[in-house]
Amino acid sequence: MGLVEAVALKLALPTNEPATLSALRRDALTRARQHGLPTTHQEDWKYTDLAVLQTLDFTPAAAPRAVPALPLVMPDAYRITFINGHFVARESNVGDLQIGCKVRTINAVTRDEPATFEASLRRAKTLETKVLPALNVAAAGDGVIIQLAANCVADRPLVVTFINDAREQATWSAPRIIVEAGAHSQLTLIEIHAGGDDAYCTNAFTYLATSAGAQIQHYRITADGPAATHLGQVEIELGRDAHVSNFALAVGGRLVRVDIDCELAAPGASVTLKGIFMASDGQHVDHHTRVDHRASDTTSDEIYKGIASGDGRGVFNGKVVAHAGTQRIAATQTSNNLLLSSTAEIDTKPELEIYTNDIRCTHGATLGQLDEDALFYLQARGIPRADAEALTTFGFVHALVAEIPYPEVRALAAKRVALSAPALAGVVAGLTL
Amino acid sequence: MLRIENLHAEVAGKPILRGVNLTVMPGEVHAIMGPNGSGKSTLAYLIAGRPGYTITAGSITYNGKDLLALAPEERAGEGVFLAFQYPVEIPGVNNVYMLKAAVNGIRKYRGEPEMGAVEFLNLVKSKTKAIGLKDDLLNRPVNQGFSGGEKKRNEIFQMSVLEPRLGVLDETDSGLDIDALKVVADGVNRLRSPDRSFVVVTHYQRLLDYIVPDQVHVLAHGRIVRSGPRELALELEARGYDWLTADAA
Repeated sequence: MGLVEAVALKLALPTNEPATLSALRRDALTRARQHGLPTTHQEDWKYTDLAVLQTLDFTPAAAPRAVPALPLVMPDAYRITFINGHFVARESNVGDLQIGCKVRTINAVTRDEPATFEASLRRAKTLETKVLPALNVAAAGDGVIIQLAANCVADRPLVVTFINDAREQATWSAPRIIVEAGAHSQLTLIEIHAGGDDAYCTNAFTYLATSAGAQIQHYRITADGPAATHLGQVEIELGRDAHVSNFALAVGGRLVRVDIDCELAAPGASVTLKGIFMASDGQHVDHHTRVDHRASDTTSDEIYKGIASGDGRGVFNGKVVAHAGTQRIAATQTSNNLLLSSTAEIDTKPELEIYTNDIRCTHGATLGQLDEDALFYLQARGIPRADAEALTTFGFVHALVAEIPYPEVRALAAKRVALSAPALAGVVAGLTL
Repeated sequence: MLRIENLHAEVAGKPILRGVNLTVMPGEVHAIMGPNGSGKSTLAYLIAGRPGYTITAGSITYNGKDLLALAPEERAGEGVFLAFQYPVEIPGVNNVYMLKAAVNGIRKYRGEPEMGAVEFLNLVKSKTKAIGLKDDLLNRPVNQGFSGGEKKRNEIFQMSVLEPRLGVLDETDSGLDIDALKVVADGVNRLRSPDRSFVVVTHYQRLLDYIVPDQVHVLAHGRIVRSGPRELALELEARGYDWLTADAA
């Protein structure tokens, strides 16, 4: 029995839910069955093999026994916390949200307003085109729906944390976040995935839909446990003059695959994609991003930095499509990668598909090792070789970390980057970011 | 302090140094001059321990220790400092943080307790003022976006914080205007003491107007072909190198 059927049998069982929702989930399951689990024969999955998942007997995670320490504590932020897929009210504080900003759990919305949830999800394209988001929706799972009325500016960041603390083998969770940002609304969303040492799988889906002039800053941090599988899909739909900046930080997990798909659907829309991934010994970390410029006067800027050490394996694939009939497209893409050992590997592939003449486009990919001249310079100053390596390694990603405007997020990013390469820990502890 | 004996070194099979002998006593300043490609920078790098060279014969002894057996950071711990001809830009590594790591790396090597943040910042403050290094350069990534002159000042600033026993300056004067040159020279002169020595590699005698050497050596084709008092530099200025290098070739 394959993974899709396993999910169908154990995780996609109908619950006591409205018929429209059952129908939505049933359709998603049908779609997932049609797609089947990707294989390495498919170009987009060439480097990432999910076959290992086929052998695991996934079950839903049980309700948490206790609340583990949260990876990010931001006293000034709103927060919503899920542990093992279950909403934890006492680690959540959205009660005092301002008018115009509705943040609710998906379970609450599906109970009270099933049509809202269904209508939101029916718009998501990746549910049709990809198996993993379809599988996410097919499975029962909770999450959060954030609805911002026109002109609503969320006064504080919202931290949504998903922790897996089941302490059992092969639990499967299907968290989801849906944001509907009304015209000229603004939100900072910090999405965090973390967990314990067991071999759990997170199949996450985040859908950000922006109306005209809306702005979303989205930080997505995966800091999963060492045996975890993280399969994440982010879908971003940008309306006229809307702007979304997405920052993806991947610093944990054994097998990580994150897809970020952006639709620049109306003139003036712009998206910024930034990412840091660390593939340390035993880890496989794959990011696929896709930006579709479907309207004129749209802009995308992308920079990803990857570090692989030990026998770690990193993959970055960034696709930019400038569709026919569009004008004044601007697209930049940079992928810089650092290999810290002879057994580490990073495969990077910028892909540009251009069907218009009116485009300003630059892209560049680099793959290198630490600069021996820099290491010698530091050593000649009295810094031991291992510390010199750690300093320059952290220096490689420092600029991206340093520009995060929230000190707590910055510190978490720095800490997680450091933890994923033990030699960095001492260095980062002394850094004033 | 420093004794270099019959030093032969090559890069990728190509001989660069062919038997250098040099003895520097405590408190002395020795200038190494010579035409381009004579091996001046190689000599400076070998003292500091840059990888990439093969030493085929000879030795470098420093305070009785075999310097060539030590890693670059161990040499720094022993008190050797190289001011680079081309200071390396290190993206993302803060200048002050690097220097603090250097100070404490050296202290650790010497079995001394680490310097605390306040003490370190006071030290940095006093030294930046003396060198005339702009404050905003302190918190920038090491050498990144620095002008040529700022990079050289940064080298001298680092040297004044680390207070080495042997300072090796590799063409620190190249590309400097006269004001910056004076700053560099002042930085060195302030550090001069009876138990601290300097090896100053330079292409021009101009620097030696400000850092007055005890001895001047001319390096040509990988050997020291002439040594003399300070006046040798003036003679080189007047006559060039050809009269010395023709014999060595």
